[in-house]
This record gives sequence, C-alpha cells and structure tokens, in this order.
Amino acid sequence: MMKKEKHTRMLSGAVYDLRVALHGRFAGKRKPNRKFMSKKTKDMIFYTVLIAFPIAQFAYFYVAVNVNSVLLAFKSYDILSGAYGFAGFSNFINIFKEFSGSNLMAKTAVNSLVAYAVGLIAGVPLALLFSFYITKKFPGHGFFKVILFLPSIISAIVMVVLFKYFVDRLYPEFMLRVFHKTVPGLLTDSRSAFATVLFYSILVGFGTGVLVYSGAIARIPASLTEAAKLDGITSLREFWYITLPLIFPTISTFLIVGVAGIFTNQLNLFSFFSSSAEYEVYTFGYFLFAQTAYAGTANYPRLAAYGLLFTLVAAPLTFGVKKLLEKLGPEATEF
Amino acid sequence: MKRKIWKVNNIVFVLLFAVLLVYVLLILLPLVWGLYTSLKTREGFVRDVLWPAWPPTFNNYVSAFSNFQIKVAGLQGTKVFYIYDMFLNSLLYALGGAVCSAIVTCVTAYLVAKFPYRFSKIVYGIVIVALILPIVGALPSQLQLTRAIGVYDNMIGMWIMNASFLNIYFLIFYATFKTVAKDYAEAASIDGASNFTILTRLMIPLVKNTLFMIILLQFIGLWNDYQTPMMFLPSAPTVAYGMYQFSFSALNSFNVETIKITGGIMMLMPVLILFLVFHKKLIGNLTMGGIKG
Repeated sequence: MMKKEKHTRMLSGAVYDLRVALHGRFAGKRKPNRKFMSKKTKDMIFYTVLIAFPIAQFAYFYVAVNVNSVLLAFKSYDILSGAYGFAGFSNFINIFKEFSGSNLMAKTAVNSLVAYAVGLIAGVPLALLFSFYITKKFPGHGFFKVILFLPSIISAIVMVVLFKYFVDRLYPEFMLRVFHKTVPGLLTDSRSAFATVLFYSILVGFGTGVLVYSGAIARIPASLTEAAKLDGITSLREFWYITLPLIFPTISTFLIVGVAGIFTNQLNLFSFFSSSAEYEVYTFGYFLFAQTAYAGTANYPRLAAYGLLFTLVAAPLTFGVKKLLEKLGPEATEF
Repeated sequence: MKRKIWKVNNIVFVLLFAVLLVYVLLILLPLVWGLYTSLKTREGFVRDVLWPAWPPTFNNYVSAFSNFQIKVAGLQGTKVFYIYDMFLNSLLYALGGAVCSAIVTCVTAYLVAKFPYRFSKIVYGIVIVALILPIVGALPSQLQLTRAIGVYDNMIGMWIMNASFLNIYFLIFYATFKTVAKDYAEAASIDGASNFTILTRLMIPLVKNTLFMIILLQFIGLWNDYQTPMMFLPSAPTVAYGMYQFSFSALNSFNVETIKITGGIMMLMPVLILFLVFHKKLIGNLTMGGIKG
C-alpha cells in the first residue's frame, strides 16, 4: 500500500516537472495576450451601428422626400393612366397665371404677411414681457406660467371647437343682453373672421416662446441684475438694457425660424373651417394643406411647384434675416 | 430717486399683471363656459346660452360617448371605430411615436456630442441647417414616398416616420451631453464597461429627466395632432382625428352644439389631467441657445 502511494507521488511529481519544462520552453514564444479589437475599432463599430438608423431615416424622410418634391414640381399627372410624366415648367406657368388672374393668391399673400407681422409686433414683445414677469417671480407667476402653457397642451381642435362656439354663439347673445345690439358671430361675419382667427392664434401661441424665453432670462447671472439694482435701475430699464441684450441669441433664433411661418402658418384655419374656409381668411399654409388633403393626387405636382416656389422665397429670406440680426443685434454672450 | 424707481416698478408690475389677468380670462372663459354648457340639455342651451343651467345633466356625455364613432371604408368593407378604438389608436400612435422620436434624438445627440468624428460635425451641421432652412409644401411628396415603402397607413411605419433627430430637442440633448465630463465614461471604460453599457447604464440615466420631459411633450403633441393621422393613417383613426370629424359632422345625432362641446371637453380631460400631474416637470426651465454658424 505504502509502495503504491510512493509510486503515485513520484508520477505526479514527474508530470509537474514536465509541465514546468514545457512552460519554460514555449512561454517566451507565446503571442502577447492582445484584445480581440482595439478601443478605436470598437468605438467606430458602436458609432456606425447606432447612427445607421437615424441617418437612413434622414436620408429617406428628409433628403429623398425633398428631392422627390422638387422632381414632382416638374411633372404632371395623367388621370387616365394614373402615371406621372415630365411637364417642364407648365406647373410654374399655371401658378403665375393663378397669381395674376385671381384675387385669391393676392389675398392669401396679404393675410400671410399680416399674420407674420402681427405675430412679430404683438406676439414676440408680449411673450418677452410675460417671460420677464414670470422670471422676476412677480405675484402669481406660477399660475400665469401654467395658464400660458395650457393652450400648448390642449388639442388645437378642442380649443377651436370651444372658442368657435364661444365667439359665434355666446358673443352675439352677450351683446344683445348687455348692449341691446344684434350682432353676428365673430367668425360668421366675414369682416371680422380673419381678425378673430389671427387673435386666437396669437392668444394660444405664447406657450413655447414664454417657456424658452423665461429659461434664457433665468440663466442671466443674478450678480448682474443685483449690481444694476444697486445703481438704481428700474424694472423697465433692466428689461430693456440687461435682459433683452443678454437673451438676444434666443430671440433671434425664434425670429429666424419664424420667417418660414409666412408660408407654413395655417392659423388654425383647418380646425376652424375644415376645407371650406372663405377666401378672405386664406393663408399660404392653409391653402397648401387644404389642397393636399382634399384636392387629390392629380394636384400633387401643382402643389409641389407651389412648395418649391415658396421655398425659393423663404430660404434666402430666412438667411437674410439671420445675417441682418447678426449685424444689427447687440453683441452679447448668452449665459 | 428711490421713490421714482419704486413708482416705475409698480406701474410696470400693475400693467403686466392686468394684461396677464385679461389673458387668463380669455383662455379660461371658453373652457369654463364649455364645461358648464356640456352639462346642459339642448333646450336649456337654446333657452340660455350665457349661464349654467340647474340641475346639470350628464346626458350629453352619454350621447357623445355612444355617438363618437367613425366609419372607415376599406377593401374589406366599412369598419366602425368607437371611442375606445380611437383611444387605443391614439395611445399607440402617440406613445410609440414619442418614444421612438425621443430615443433616436437622444442617442444621435449622444453620438455627436461624445464621439468627435468628422461625421459628427456633419450631423450637427445637418440639424442646424434643417432647423433654419424652411422647406415648404413637401407633404404631397411625403405621401408618395410613404406609400412607396409601405409606411403609409401603418402604425409601425408612423413610428419610423416620427423617429427623426431633426428637431429642437436634439440641441437640448446635445448641450446636456456636452456638459457631462469625460471622466465618467473613461472610468467606466477602465472598469471594463462596453460602449453600450456606458450609454444605457450611465449616460441615459444622467439625462433621464430631460428624456422623460421630452417624451411627455412629444406624447402630448402627437396625441393632439389630428392632421398627420388624417393624412397618413386613415385606417386607424385617432381620437383627435375623431374629434375633427365629430366637430364637422352634419349627422343629426352629432349636429348639436352641446354634444360637440361635450366631445371637446371629453377629449380635453386625459391631457389636462396629465398636464396637471406633470406640469412642474413639463414647464421647468427648458434651455436653448442661439443658432451659431
């Protein structure tokens, strides 16, 4: 028994010696323990895999859609065959005829410009003043902030339904009872319909502006306003000389992006009137949407041509406004 | 001098307070009027448009609930969608679209902010140009191309269509990720964390509040949007589109002002509750800088 145990111990000792010898023989020649991939390669693969979908989505839903829109502007639709064919500039010629031959487009252009101008002259300053009020934490600021943002979260169609009956049913009733005057509803009366729609659009459009402006005002270092207050500055002068210059980059962003609104703002007309709004209240945005929704596939090339023309006006106008604001605006660093 | 400052400050405050008070009245009056009008009978409304009626009745809600339906004509005949079908469609459309859009925007902003490749700069440039450059009237083309790849009238297709990073939220995520120090990711990397682990376990939790707020804002926007489902998802009408149809319906059962107003109040409630619960998060300070370059 003892002999067998001794024999086994000797054998295992020999195996161990052999392993040590083999290790000594080959260990020096073994390749260094490299990782499967370098960090750079791993980063690159990770980046490529994750960015592939967003880029593909962008390539199709932005690039291809817009390229196709340009091509569509030079096509016509054959109702019999249901196919599109090259039409040269005929869509554009028809558009120029529409512009020169009817009052519709002239009225639409005027309405769109008026809506933009009123938004600029009344909407932006009011949004800035409201933001100033909220950021300075004047009484009721929390409540006002919630109410200012409320129309942005309520569905446009719901707000419009309530407002529509409010101005068309309640307003005439109110005028009759209080002032003993018989008046038509504000939307029913074609003389007041556009002003009412415009007023409504500005009324419900403060939300995002106030939110972003008050965020920008809140980032102005307190030390700046405190120092000004010690020098005896009034709230009005603080707003004009400190707040406005310091948040100018944010304001200019809104103004630049807003230029496109001349051609895209529907003024909630589709929610008010569906596709049957009177020509007196038309805007470019409403015209394009209502036509696409109800005029059918045959009209797509004509509408694409309208879109291309509007873009050709809107794009340089936007960049022009950007350059102008950079040149005329105060040189300020936003915090 | 101090007296003059005090006077000017007070005048500014009183004027702004008065304007804001008028604003609040203009916003709340139609809502309050709509709410008590929804509790009137048709006859009660005709008798007195101005004031609430007593006792209130909930019959309009019952009528609006049972009549709120849309008939959609398809290849297999006409299908009727009731209010609960439309709520489900709205939920799928808004939740899927909001989550897809916010995650794609968040991940793209992370890649662009944290991986300084030349391509990242190109992507950033694309966002800025797309935000400034106005492209008008691409809707017909969009309809054509969505039909071409089967995205049209398809719920998942709508999520894909919404999953774009070309929005203002990209800049918010980008600014947030830029402020996160490199040390976090480097420390995690030394401990053996993969890029995916760093993104999902470290970076996304760091921006989870912003991500949640953006999902919520997108959700509300999509929930309320009736024009996109009307144009791109005709076989799955959402509740917002249903409301649009309802408000212009000339059918006898719908064509009553009180019923239409009640429909509006009914649709208002879910979003209003969501807003009242989360309003502090939603209207916290949203930060956005100017456009440079």
